[in-house]
Amino acid sequence: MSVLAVHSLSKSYGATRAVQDVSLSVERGDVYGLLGPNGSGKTTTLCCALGLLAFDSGSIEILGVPASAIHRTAGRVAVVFDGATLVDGLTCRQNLRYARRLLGHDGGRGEDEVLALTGIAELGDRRAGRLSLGQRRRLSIARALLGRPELLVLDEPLSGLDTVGVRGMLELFRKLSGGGLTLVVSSHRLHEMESIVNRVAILLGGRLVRESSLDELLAGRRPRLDVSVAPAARALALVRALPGIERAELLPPAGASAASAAAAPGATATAPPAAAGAGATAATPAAPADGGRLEIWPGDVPPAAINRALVAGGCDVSALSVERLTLQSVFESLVDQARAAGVQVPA
Amino acid sequence: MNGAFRVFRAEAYRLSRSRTAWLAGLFLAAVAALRVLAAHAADMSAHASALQRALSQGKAAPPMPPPGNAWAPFTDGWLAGLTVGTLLLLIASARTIAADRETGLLRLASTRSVSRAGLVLGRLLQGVLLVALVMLVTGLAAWLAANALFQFGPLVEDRYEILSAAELRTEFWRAAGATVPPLLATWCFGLAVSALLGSGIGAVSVALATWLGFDLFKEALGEHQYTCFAAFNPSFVDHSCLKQFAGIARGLSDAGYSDSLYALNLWLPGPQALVLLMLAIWVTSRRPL
Repeated sequence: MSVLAVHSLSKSYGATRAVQDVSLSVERGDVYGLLGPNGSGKTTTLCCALGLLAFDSGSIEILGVPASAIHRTAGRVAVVFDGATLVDGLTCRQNLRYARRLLGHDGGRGEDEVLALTGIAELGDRRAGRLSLGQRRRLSIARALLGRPELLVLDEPLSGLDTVGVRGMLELFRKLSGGGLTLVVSSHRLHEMESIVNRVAILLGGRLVRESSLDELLAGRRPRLDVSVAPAARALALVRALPGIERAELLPPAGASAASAAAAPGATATAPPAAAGAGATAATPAAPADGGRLEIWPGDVPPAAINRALVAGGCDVSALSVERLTLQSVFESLVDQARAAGVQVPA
Repeated sequence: MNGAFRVFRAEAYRLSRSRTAWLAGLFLAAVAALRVLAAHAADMSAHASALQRALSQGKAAPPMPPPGNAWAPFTDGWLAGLTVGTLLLLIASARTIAADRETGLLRLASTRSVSRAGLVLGRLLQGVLLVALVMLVTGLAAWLAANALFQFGPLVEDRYEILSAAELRTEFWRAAGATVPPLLATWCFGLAVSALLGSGIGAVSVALATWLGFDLFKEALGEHQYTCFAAFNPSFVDHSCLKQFAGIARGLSDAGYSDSLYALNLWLPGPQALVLLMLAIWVTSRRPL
């Protein structure tokens, strides 16, 4: 049974459709990333899922009960929202005691345990109003971990944190996930999220454009090679002649304007293959006389074979790097596809 | 109901750890005691004037009068504390839901096992506690000051006992009891405003403006003012039962509620408080948290 199951959720604010026909499913033990740019409907989806916001249509079950009756989950769901909701006049420990009374359950993690778990044990007697943003975020998470939550929902937990804070927070999430907790994390910070999530849902313009495991999302999207080589024109021809190569492009020389690069047929250096279609390279760009950079989607051809072919063809390879496709690049590809399909995605 | 008790326990804990709450309690006690002190100072001033007059006329100095009857200054002191206390109750109730919605604390409670009705009902229980505390603190401060400076006893005029101490005590408890329902209704009024408005500051402003507006203009309503629970509350333009008792304790023949007005004082605030409470629950159940 899913820990959180959303079916065909739609929610409008007046004439604005915030979320449209979104369905997603979070399984026990998942670290589930709800991803999308600002205004894509992540927080609205979460608020609906947590029974904080009424929705127009669809159905939501959280730990087996309808979202509107989330209080019946009796403390098994814990939530940390973007703005840390603390009582500033109380100390950290008093904030936890306040929450403990609201929770009304004995047993499970106590105040000292959650303070230690979140790395703020030494701040127990400090007033919440005097904490830094990162410390407030940790205290909010500590409060959420009181008792025995099975599902922890975090809305933009990384926003506003500095590099050290983000790293610490990600370590904390890994630790919590390792302890068997199911995490749902909404964020627009894809690079950081990639290191912790195992499943993702990508929302764009209020629509779900993809839901899958991270492995599935990145599988089938082959790495890209970036090769500095001379002479570039001959190298381009050699690579394209290799059987199995998906696509190869000559990057515009340094200093060329973006407009001219975009105007050159087939010179879509930043477009990943999914957006342009595999093997769609019939035109030849105006190649520089000597050295240049090739962008190659090698298909099944190993980088070493490409290197050997170039060297054997008399080319001088000065650098060859493999650029792994990331959640960020997949996301950009999905944004392009969504825009092409007419979905409004903020720039 | 379980969730309401949890909210009550949590809010009571928060209140007990709040420096502002403790300071407010001290302030209320000081107001009540100072009002009694002011009554004593007025008595002393009257005696000083009489003394000065006698000496200037070459007469013998009048003897120091015995301590006056404590009931009237005690009631005045308590009323002063309750008047300020009512305003503080109104501020606290108007702030509670709106401000907690703003800061997200309602979300915390809602997602962690408290129903939306429980969020409001827990705050109603908190209101019962606060009304009791305000009455206790102000009453105790006024009683301590009055007991130290005056003497509780029968109402005597020209050596004739108009009301015995026991009769005064009975009247006093009757009036004190009549003060509770309107105070609870005031709390419910604050809750309703708090549920309706989006911000804590906005809710407090609207609640205070409405409250003080009614207080200022209720005279113009004549007898119709008694169709609203607020007319029975201790206030700046005070028509409360306790205020009437202060008149009785001073020997004013026209002081006191009629039986029908007293019954209205007892039974009108309840249904009105219930309507306000249902409104607060209904709005909280439907608004995004």
